[in-house]
Amino acid sequence: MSSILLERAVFCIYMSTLLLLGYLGSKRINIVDDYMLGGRTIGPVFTAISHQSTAMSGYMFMGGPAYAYQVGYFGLWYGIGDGGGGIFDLAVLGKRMRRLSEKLGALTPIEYLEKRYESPAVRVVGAAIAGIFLAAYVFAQFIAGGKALAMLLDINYGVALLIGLGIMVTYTFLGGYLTVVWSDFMNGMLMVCSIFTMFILGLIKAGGFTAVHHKIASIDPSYLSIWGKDYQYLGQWGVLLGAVLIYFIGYTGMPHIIVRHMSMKSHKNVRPAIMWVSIWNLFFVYSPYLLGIIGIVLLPNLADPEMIIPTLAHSLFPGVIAALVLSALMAAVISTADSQLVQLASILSRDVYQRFINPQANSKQMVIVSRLLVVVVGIVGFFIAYFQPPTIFGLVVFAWGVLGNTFMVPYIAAVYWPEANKAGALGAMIGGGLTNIIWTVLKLEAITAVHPFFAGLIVSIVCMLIFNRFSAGVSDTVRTAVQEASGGGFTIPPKLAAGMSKILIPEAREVGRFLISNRRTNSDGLGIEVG
Amino acid sequence: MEIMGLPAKTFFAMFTWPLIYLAWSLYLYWKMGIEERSEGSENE
Repeated sequence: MSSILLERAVFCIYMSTLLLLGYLGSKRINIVDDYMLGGRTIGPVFTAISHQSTAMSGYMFMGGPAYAYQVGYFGLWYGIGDGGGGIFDLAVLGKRMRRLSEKLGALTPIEYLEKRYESPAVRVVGAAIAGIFLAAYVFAQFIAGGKALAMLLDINYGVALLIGLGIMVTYTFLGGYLTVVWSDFMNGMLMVCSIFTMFILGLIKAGGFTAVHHKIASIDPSYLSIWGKDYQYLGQWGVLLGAVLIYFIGYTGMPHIIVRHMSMKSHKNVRPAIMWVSIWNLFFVYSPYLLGIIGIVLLPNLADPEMIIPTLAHSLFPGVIAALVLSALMAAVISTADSQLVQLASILSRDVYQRFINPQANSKQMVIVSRLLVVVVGIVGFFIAYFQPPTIFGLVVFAWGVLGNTFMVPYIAAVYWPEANKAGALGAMIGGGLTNIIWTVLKLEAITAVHPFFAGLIVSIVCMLIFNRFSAGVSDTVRTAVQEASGGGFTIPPKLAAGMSKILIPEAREVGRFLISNRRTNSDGLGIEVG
Repeated sequence: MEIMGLPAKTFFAMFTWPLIYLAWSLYLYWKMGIEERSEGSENE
């Protein structure tokens, strides 16, 4: 059988399995809880693997290796952040969010915020930001999927997009969240097996680690530095810390990832899930970046660095391995995109339609509305992905950063700080998200040597503490629910937070003055040089 | 100093993290086990 036929056959089996999962999932949808949260019946293994495969997008097969190919070992900092991200998320939020979301009766992560902070404004702002940036994120995934599928099946990009999206929308439409978790588990296993096999084979082909490093050193030794090629980030700890933190703690702000806590069968699932995440990460998260580094030796003249993994698969490992690796690339895209798709549809139906348009909608109607919204998002996504293909890396990092900076602090404060209220949450969401956007657009990283994510995180924490003083306290019901959800664990004492906010107000003013004055001197062509 | 052709600084900065994460997850597994056992005995 020729290579392309084999790849098409493997891919057809893979896509047929997804449709079968959609059909099986549809048999278990009775009420809206089943469609949006799988009826809160997900076990630890499926929670862990779907949590990780959702977090790892097509970026891990395209943008990530390309980045390591361009900057060398500095790229691995992102992998290191990813390596601990899932563990951190489950350890910090897992049990508490599972308990609190059930106590509050929330079905989406945005509804959870409204009920926790007792404010419709939190839901409006949350739904708007999540809607826009989840959409940007999912459209970037559609583009990556279309490109991967076009290459895999050797067909036109538009046709590939239509096939890939058509299948994904169909099984998500049918089975909702439950099917998404099942498919994510299958995709996660395919991703880890294929990428780790490819890493080992690539390493053997290149002559082992020592040979790879010696060859790279002869090309340019700065590839082997922790500061990036040409030592471009030398001494910039703010950039380095941001590169690690964006994925290490960023998970806690992703609505499509943290919904896994809400759908667990029991809070006791967190314990085994952490071990599963840890083992899966060990074999997956570092491999794409290391393959990028190996690519410097094996494919020194590659025109498009995003094609490292597909090119290695095709040129070095023809046959079944190549077909599996390319299907795994699709799996990475699909496992993230389907979770975002179902989450986006859930937010639009539950947090917009039912909350503000038709509060009387019953459970059956909500399932229908959610399904229709999956189709609508799919159609809109097709046209956006077809006509405006931007670079994958830029879009994903931007969307991830804004979502993380918007939601991370409110979600963590929701379960650790019983006194956290609506003004604090709104300040943290708007301040964190906006800082990330401004920092990225105005390229403030070059002036301050601080990564946009790190800047957004600091502003979000400061805003949470400061704005929390400008609103009435939380109700006794919520305070008690938060304390019960903590399971007797640590919560922030009221006096500590109040004292910190008093100290932070003048500090925040000084930082603001510093940034404004530097922007002015920089725009005049004086003062600090932009790197 | 080099380890497997990589500057020692880069080697330790990059490759100790997987071990740290593994140790951390084992610690959490052990700690949560103790918490769950005490939760269970309280319920009984």
